[in-house]
Amino acid sequence: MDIAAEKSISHLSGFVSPQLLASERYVELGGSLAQIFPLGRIQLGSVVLFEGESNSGATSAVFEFLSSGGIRRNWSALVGFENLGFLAAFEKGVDLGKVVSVPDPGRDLAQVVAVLTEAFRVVTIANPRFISSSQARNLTSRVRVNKSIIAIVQQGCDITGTRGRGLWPGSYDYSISSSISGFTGLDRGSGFIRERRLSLSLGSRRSGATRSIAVSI
Amino acid sequence: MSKKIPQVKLRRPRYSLFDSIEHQVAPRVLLVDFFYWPFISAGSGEIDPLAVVAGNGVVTDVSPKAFRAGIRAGDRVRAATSAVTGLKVISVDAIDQSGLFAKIANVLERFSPLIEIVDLGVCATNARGPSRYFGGEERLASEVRKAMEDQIVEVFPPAGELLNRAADLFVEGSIFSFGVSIADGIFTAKIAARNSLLIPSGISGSFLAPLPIRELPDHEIADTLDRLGVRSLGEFADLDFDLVLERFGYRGALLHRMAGGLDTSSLEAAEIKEDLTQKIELPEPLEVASSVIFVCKARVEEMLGHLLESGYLCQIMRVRLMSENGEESVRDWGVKDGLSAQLLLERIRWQLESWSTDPRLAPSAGVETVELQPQRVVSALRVQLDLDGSERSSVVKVSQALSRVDAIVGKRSSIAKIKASRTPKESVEMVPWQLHLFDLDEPMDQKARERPPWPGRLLSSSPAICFDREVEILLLTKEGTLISVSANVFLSGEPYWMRVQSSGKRVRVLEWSSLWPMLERWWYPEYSTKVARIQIVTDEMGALLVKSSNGRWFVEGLYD
Repeated sequence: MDIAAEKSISHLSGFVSPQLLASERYVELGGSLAQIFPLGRIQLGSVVLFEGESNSGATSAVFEFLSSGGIRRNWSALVGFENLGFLAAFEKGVDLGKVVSVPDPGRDLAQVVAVLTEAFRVVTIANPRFISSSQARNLTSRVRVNKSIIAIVQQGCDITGTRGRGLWPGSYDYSISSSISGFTGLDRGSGFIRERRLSLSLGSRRSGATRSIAVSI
Repeated sequence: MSKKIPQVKLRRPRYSLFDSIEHQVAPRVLLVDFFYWPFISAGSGEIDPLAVVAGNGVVTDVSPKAFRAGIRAGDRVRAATSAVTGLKVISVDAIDQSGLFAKIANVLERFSPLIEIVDLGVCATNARGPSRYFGGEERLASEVRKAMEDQIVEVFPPAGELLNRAADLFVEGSIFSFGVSIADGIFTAKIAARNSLLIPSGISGSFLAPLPIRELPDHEIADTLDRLGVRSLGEFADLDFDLVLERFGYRGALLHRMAGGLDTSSLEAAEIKEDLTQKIELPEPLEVASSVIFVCKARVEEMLGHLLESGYLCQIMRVRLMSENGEESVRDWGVKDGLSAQLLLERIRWQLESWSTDPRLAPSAGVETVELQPQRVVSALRVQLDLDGSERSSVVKVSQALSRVDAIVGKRSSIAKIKASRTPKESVEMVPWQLHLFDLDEPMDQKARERPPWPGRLLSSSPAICFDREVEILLLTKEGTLISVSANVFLSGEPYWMRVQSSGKRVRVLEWSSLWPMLERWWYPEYSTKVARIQIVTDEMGALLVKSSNGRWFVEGLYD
């Protein structure tokens, strides 16, 4: 192709907006998650699983997610979260003005999530107990249509004795497992926690690959 | 290559949605309503055709003569044509949606620079300034009426011919009849226009009160109100604002204000300090409107996208078109809910078409530059961004979903607000989502970031999990003696074990921080308690925030 033609094409490209196919729509992520998600973005219509043993930093991983790039600018709903430290979320950069906390819907979970995915870009569920595999399948196809994202947090808590009973019975597109590997700032009765090292690893169903990153929070 | 649009940096205006519906006064509005616009634009060549406009097999507009024959909007087309012989059915698609009405609305420009096309057939402008200039609202209204009549005759040559045959082109019953009204707010003005009334300032409420509830522009809400026994606008306006807000959401609250004569959708342009003007230079002068639109499309989308990303919606945009020979056409376009790229492009097209076909003002050469200057932007904090900024789903969608969810769950959903306090738990206030959504509060982030240095405030980051009910534990030394906090805030020993009282589980303490002392309930001397906080790191339960109070230990939070 000669230079003149190339030039005029690049000139024209400035006037034409790109046409995106539905399947090609993504939300750009920021921060640490951008480094482990393929191309730094997450596909709309995905199901994301946050999992870990007790105290493994899954809550911090969720905060990383909610404060990340394009996710932060969208409305998100938190379903069934008790004891969430909103101050920590705020300190992490989550835009609390766009985060609505929905009380535990019990057996109506599937119905509530279905309604929420119509208006909220991100719906995060804590330990989904009352959800059948057919309901999970329905929700998965619903988010594909609505172009929203369902995130599920599966983690118990030793201190209150609650186990991560709720397991997502359906398929998922990404899973993020977390663990906390250390603290700095403490020294036997002096100082306070300055930093925690959180390692996140992403398993993607599509690529099958696992990518990890260690972040200081 | 298109120039990169600089990122818009604006201070968030101190603008509150709640303020606007609670406290603002309705602006004085002059409104012109062509009741039978579809029939005018379809150009049937008759003053009083027996016709209806229909789409999807349902009648949407009825001409005066057809109305007298008993046909109503909402009737099935098949039933209407069989009931009335000789009924002409005009397809909705055949109606000129383009710049025809813009040409009529142009007339208002002689009176005030800011015009809002409320709907096809309905246009409005600010009445306050011009009425002073013309010596009273009555004079202004009659001037506008005369100018409109002249314009109709000029724009529709058949209308001129008809005028010769029938002197009463604009009398009631003619499709050319129109109303001119002046009132507070567009809602009142539109109702007043039916009889060309001038409603004095401040009495809209009593003017609207006896009207039936179905006058509300939202039929769904009007139906519900009707079923609830609220039959007139006045009865609706008398309902408690907060109750309406709770039951019908933001949309209902706006309707409630409208019914009380307080439609605040303002036409007045606000001053914008930062220059957001975008100049689009076309690669060559273009004469055909659609090619101008095509070339502008990407830039317009980009510009509005950037605005939206920065949290703003443009309500009024000044569009300046310049031809190669230096002629200009300037026009303000307003849309209450904010201009999307599509709406703006449509309006640019109207402007181009009405300019290039205007016999007196038509440019002598193609258009070379399109300049877009936002005149009024509002905070779009409550507007959800889509990734490309082109689609948006508003507060309305979110509040509808939450209303349904709350009904299912039977409890209220809420939004967390941060306030200045000493402990992570007390710093968070959960407020019902309605309050937050409809009260565009001050930028919370900024205020809370400057939290005052409360004595006893945590100096470290806050725990990701804060327990609602505190979990009692024991802190023990290696030898198993209980650890307490002395009066001068020292630990009585080195923590080695932590035991959760409820489960009896014991874990090792690996590290611990210094103590933060704090007096709780200091304002009640007799009830005040000395508490101290400490962070500990355990081997199996992670890092915890622990409080000592009256000799007992409680876990307050978990650094998950």
